[in-house]
Amino acid sequence: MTDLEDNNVIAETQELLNSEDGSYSTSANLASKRTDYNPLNVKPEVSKQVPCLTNTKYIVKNVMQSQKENINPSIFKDNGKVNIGDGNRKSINDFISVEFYRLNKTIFDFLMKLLLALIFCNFSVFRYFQYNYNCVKLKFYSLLYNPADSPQLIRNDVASLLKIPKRLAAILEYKPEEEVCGGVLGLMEDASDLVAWSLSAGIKHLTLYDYDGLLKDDVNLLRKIIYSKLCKYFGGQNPPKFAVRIPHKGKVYYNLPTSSSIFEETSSDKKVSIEIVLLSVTDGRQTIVELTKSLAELHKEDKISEDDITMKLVDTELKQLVGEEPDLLLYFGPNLDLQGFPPWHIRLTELFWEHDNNNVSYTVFIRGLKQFSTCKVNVGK
Amino acid sequence: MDGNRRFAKSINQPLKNGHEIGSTSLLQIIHFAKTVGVKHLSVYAFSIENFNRTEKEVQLLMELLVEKLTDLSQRISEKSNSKHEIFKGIQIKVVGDLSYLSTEVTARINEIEKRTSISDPSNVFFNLYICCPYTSRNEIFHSVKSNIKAKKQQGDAYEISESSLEKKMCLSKYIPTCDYLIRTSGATRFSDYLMWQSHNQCSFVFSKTFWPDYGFRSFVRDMISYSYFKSLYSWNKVEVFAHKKHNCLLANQLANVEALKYSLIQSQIFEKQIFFPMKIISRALHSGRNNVLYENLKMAPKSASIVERN
Repeated sequence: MTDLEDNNVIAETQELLNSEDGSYSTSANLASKRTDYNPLNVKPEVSKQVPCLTNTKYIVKNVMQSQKENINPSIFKDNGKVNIGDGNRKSINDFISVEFYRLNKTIFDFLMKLLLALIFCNFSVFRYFQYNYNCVKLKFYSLLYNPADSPQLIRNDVASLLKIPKRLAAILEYKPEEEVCGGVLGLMEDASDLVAWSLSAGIKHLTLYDYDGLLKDDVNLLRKIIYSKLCKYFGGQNPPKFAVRIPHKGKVYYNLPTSSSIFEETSSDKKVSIEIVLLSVTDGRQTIVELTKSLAELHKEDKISEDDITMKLVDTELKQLVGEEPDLLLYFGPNLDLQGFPPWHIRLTELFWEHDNNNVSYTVFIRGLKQFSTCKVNVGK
Repeated sequence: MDGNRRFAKSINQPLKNGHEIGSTSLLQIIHFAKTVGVKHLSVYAFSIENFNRTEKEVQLLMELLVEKLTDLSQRISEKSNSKHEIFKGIQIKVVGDLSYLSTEVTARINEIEKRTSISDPSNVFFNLYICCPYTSRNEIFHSVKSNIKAKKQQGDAYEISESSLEKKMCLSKYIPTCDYLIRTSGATRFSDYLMWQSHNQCSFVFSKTFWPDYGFRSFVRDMISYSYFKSLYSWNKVEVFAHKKHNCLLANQLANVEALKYSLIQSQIFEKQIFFPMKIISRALHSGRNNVLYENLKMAPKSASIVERN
């Protein structure tokens, strides 16, 4: 059986070699035949076993075939089978053309990579100027809107706008402890700044999002910081009241944390000027998954029918679980990244961020409000 | 694809021409994207909300879309075009809630999909997803519903998770995440598109050009900037989206932070006095008065909400 097969192999290769066009790259019909033993696909170890390079094709073919069939390469058994002669020259040609093709490809790849590097170099020069331009622009605006530490000033800035968002959301980012305004305290400082600004601007609903939920973890501290910030803005005697809501836990906290002895909350405390909602990554996709699970449970027990599950139901459920859709989303980073903000709730939300800005500043806040006041929403029409 | 009508208005042409130019722009972008080596391109062609438009315009848009897609699919499937690299290995898929469409249009869309479908996945070089009529909420809702159904039918064997939701979504089953989102015509919102896919680790471009104007130049510029930042981050091995959690909370650190902030603000005073003396003086007059009741402030502008308007 093996002898017969070997003979077949030799006959095939000879047929191929004797055909008119021996080059690899051009001939179309040969290429299809040769796909299974294209020298380009052959691993280098194979060619190392070869005694003479001029017979590449024969040897490679034979070695490959024998490896497939687990027999010793016939060429080493019986030298008579190697046809040195007419096919030899062609195999040299083939060898050269393949090597040439490889070389060409390497040079071409190298040139293309060089071109890409050049483009990137140019782009980095452009980027340098762009970055500086953005920074100068931000500096300019921050000078224009500085100081902004009193409610009247902020209200004056806002008063000229046509409309302000009803619900404002902001994505806050945790910075390393070593940086200025970094760490959890820095994050809470930023949050309290935002609360004071939006309160002064007349916004009643504020959503604060941070990926890890650091703001949620220590609500009492956050409340203290917000309270002290509001005292700074509105005077210590009668600062505005606020409520902090955590939808994931389903809890609402009013004003300052009370000591355990005085637990009751008076009704006047619940009349708040601003509602702060704290979100994190768990309110995003995970909440949708959990909602699906609970709905599936109900459906399994036949408590709700299939027709009851409508878009409206899902929407109202998610509104209860997470909150309303914000009208304006501020991001205080160099390049917009939503970081897993609840996907259901950003349908028509206006997004705003300043390029190359890296801190929570009043400039971004007021410019976001300005952009919102000019935007027009069609909702499909 | 946004801004066709505004573009038509800007060049004093009827609306139809605007849409037509927009469709040629789409073909252009498909060509560029394929040449650059993009594997998946999804296009927001028609929103479910767009059915609020006049019947005439909806019909016009649908006809135009189906016509152009049929044309493209025919070119792709033609044997004589097999030599052209441009048309090689393109697969068109129309995704969205097809129940909104008439039976005639659905049949034609099925035909288009059938014509361009390639059985061997290794031969597919470019996937084109036309979202029509599509909204992200609709997609999420349908996947939620079908998951609930599947849970009931299969019982405990079926587990609901993010991936199982994704498998039932009309677009997410092909592309679960989005790397780069380009929105034309200056609006900075999603308008119900790719909300699930792009909510994490996605780069955005909000271009101010109208869709018909969005040509070679804008495309190349955006692509270069995308690839530049991607390779920059990979070279520097910066974990761009690293979120670390620190648990060192000390209430008495609060005072230090306050002090630090104040010293920073005061150091900036020198700068601002150079540039804007007038502005600074007028603002500075106000800045000290911080004893104000919230109720005594000026009337704020009317707050507007998109959600409640509908």
